[in-house]
Amino acid sequence: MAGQTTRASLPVHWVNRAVSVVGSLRFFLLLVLLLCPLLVLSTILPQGLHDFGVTEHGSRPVIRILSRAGLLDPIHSPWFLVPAALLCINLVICIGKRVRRFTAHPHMTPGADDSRDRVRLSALRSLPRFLTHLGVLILVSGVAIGGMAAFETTLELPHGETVPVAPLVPYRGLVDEGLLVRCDSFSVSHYESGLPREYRSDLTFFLNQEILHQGSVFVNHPISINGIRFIQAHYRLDHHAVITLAHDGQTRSFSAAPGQRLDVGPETTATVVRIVENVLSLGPAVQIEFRSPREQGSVWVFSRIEEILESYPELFEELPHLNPAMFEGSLFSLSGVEPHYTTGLIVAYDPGIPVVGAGAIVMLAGLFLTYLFPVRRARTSGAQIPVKGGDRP
Amino acid sequence: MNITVLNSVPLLYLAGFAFGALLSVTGGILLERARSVMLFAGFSLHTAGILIRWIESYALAIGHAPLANLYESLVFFSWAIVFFFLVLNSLRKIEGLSTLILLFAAGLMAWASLAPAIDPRIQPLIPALKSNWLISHVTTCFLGYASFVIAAIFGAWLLLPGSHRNPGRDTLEERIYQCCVIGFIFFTIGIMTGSVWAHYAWGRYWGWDPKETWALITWLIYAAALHTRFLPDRGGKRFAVLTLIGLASIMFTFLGVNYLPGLHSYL
Repeated sequence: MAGQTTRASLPVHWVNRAVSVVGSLRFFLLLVLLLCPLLVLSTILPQGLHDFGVTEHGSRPVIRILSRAGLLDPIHSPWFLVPAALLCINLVICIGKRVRRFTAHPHMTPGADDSRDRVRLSALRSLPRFLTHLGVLILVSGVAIGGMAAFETTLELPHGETVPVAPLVPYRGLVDEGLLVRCDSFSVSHYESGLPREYRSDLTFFLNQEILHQGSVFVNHPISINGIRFIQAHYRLDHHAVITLAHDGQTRSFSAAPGQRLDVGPETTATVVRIVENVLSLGPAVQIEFRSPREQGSVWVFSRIEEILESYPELFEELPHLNPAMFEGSLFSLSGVEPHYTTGLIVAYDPGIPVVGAGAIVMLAGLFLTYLFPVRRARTSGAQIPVKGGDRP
Repeated sequence: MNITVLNSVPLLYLAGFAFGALLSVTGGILLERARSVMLFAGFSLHTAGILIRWIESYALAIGHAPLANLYESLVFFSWAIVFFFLVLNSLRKIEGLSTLILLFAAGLMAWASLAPAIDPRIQPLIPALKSNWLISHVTTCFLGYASFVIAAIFGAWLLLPGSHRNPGRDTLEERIYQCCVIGFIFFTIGIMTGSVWAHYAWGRYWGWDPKETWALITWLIYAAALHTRFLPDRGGKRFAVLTLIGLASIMFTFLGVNYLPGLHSYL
């Protein structure tokens, strides 16, 4: 019987011992000592090389070794995650100890009231540190929720275009399939030096073809739709050429970007290669690649071609690729070049944010109380010792 | 105007340091008073310079708090150290520290004023910096840094031979602890306000940017330092050593990360 009791209590003893070690202050300090150099490494070693395929076969041995050791992404490697998880366990044990201390009831013996009051008072004094640790734990929980369910992507939305939101969202059911976003306008203002002062996108969100929300997004002022945030991140300025093409008796106009193919005919293609705002002070011009069953080549079309011809009447004889009618049966003309903005938005969703916020507030409250109610010290035999019940602050 | 005023500040601080250095050799009430006068005059001019710069930025139609570039952050860091020292001195009488504080503040101001790579002109804000969070984030971070600098000076003092006699080991440890707690609160608020700002500006509250990672390293170092107070020997010299390691980490968080690629670079 006695032997059975010993065998049964052995695992309990080891569990208690493990809890005591993992929940100790020295273990916390050891974990911090492990984490700090790893974090330093993460800022010094180049990160994200996996994304560029640099760590693939054939790369330098040093890079391969670092990659295999997980040091090219230490934050997501076991080197970081294991100590961070142990740190959380350390916090949980520490919080558990405090709760136990606060709810403990000393046996009802003579003088128990005093003893109970002392325990309660000691536990109350440790309330600030309890709150601080609880706050950190709540905050880390929020980070973990975000790690599992958050997403972030970028949306390049040209001015005037409408795109569906659902394909951007990796989780089904988070947004309605019929949710669309349109960039109604984009504007940018500049300082005298040319530096951007502010840029903003006017967006309209549609749900099943009805306007759901309209608003402006500018830097530091995002819009939130169904918990998904649209943040103004950057913009791109392209030029669109307004081209008129007379071909086989038909005249059509296009507003085209570089790389765009113009609809000419079944076997004939015309592709915009380059758009230049001002070529050799001769004004805007566009380079077009033309292919038909009879001929192929490229032509430069100037918007001010008539003025140019007045100055250089023999231009087309000397430089035939500047002749907008160089291809038989086709005549190009360029009305102008207009700026065309594409707004760059970050689309982000993180359900862990309220939890992180709550954790931050609890932690801060704990820190303030720590300052207001510092550790009391009792003097025993000439030496000062902190008043505390365990081996963890 | 603001640059002229701010350029004169390191001279006053240096003069104060010189009086303080002489005082430590010869002693004398006159030298002590001269050091105090230089400290107060320098701090007054320092405060005025920052306010003038703020007002002048509005006159240039690019108005913003002077906390946006390396020059302005060095000026504010130096101001925060002196400000924090004056507040602490009014509560705890730590006059003996003023000579070192004057040297530290003068060094930062001299660097801001003399380094050829640092442009002292008022510059317009890029759109990402145009936020009310700029003031709360930068001021809380630098007040935290200032508090940690003073903790490190106390820490260095504790490590010096003879510190147990004057002002006493317990007193020094208590001062370090107070500075660390206050610095830790300000620095935590600084990280939090930065996270809220990043949430609005970049779409995420934490992105493992080098500055953010180094802020976490600094935060962990001071968390560890504060926890050593609960060891049986109350941290002892380890506590003081950690405040010095923390100071090195602060300096890298503030200046070193500028040489690493990231979103927080001043350069």
